[in-house]
Amino acid sequence: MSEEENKAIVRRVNDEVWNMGNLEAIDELIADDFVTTVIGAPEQIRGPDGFRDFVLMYRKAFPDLRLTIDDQIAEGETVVTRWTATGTHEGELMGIPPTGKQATTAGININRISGGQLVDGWGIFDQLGLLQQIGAVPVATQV
Amino acid sequence: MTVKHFGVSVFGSIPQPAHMPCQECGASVPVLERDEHVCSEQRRLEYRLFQLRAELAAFDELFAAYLESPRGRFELWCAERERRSKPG
Ligand SMILES: [Zn+2]
Repeated sequence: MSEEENKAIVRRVNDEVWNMGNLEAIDELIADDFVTTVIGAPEQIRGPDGFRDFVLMYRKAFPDLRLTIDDQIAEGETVVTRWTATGTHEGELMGIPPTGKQATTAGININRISGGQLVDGWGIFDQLGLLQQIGAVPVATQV
Repeated sequence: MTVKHFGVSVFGSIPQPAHMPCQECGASVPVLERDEHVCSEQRRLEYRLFQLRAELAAFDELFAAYLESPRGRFELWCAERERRSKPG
């Protein structure tokens, strides 16, 4: 597949799975042996089921989650995606009760695509900022 | 060298989020634009209702319990008497 087609696969994951909550698309877009590292997560996310659980955790906490792709760079099978996400904290997140507050975070994912599916990845996003916005971590006093 | 970012020194401080929720309406507002933020009335109402959701959910139960209390039963009796006394 071309680099443009690989970028489009990542965009489908963002639009269909993250934004629209179409969890059935995961089986088409995520390889059975998919493995990804999210910095800060206690363990790697493995396979379509692991990815589904990860998406569900955030979509239950932020049901109106909106993820926007800010930039994409592709080289061979690798696609780098810089994204921003906004959502309203209406469900429990990792034991943090819902606050009704809107939060915005941003991150970068690096995925390898093969045969129209994500096969592995690495991602990092501003988890501290997210926790600060929903009041789970204090924000330093402004000067 | 001291670098200023969102009004806070980058070095030697806890990182600052680029957005923070508005305290009045809960909207995610870029920190650099918070002075220009104007709350949406709809969003402010929804945010307030969300904060009160436990009380709202409990209202029917509390209201039913009140109507069963001596004072509630008396008020029901008064209301019924007033309704019957009105012509038509
Ligand atoms: Zn506001």
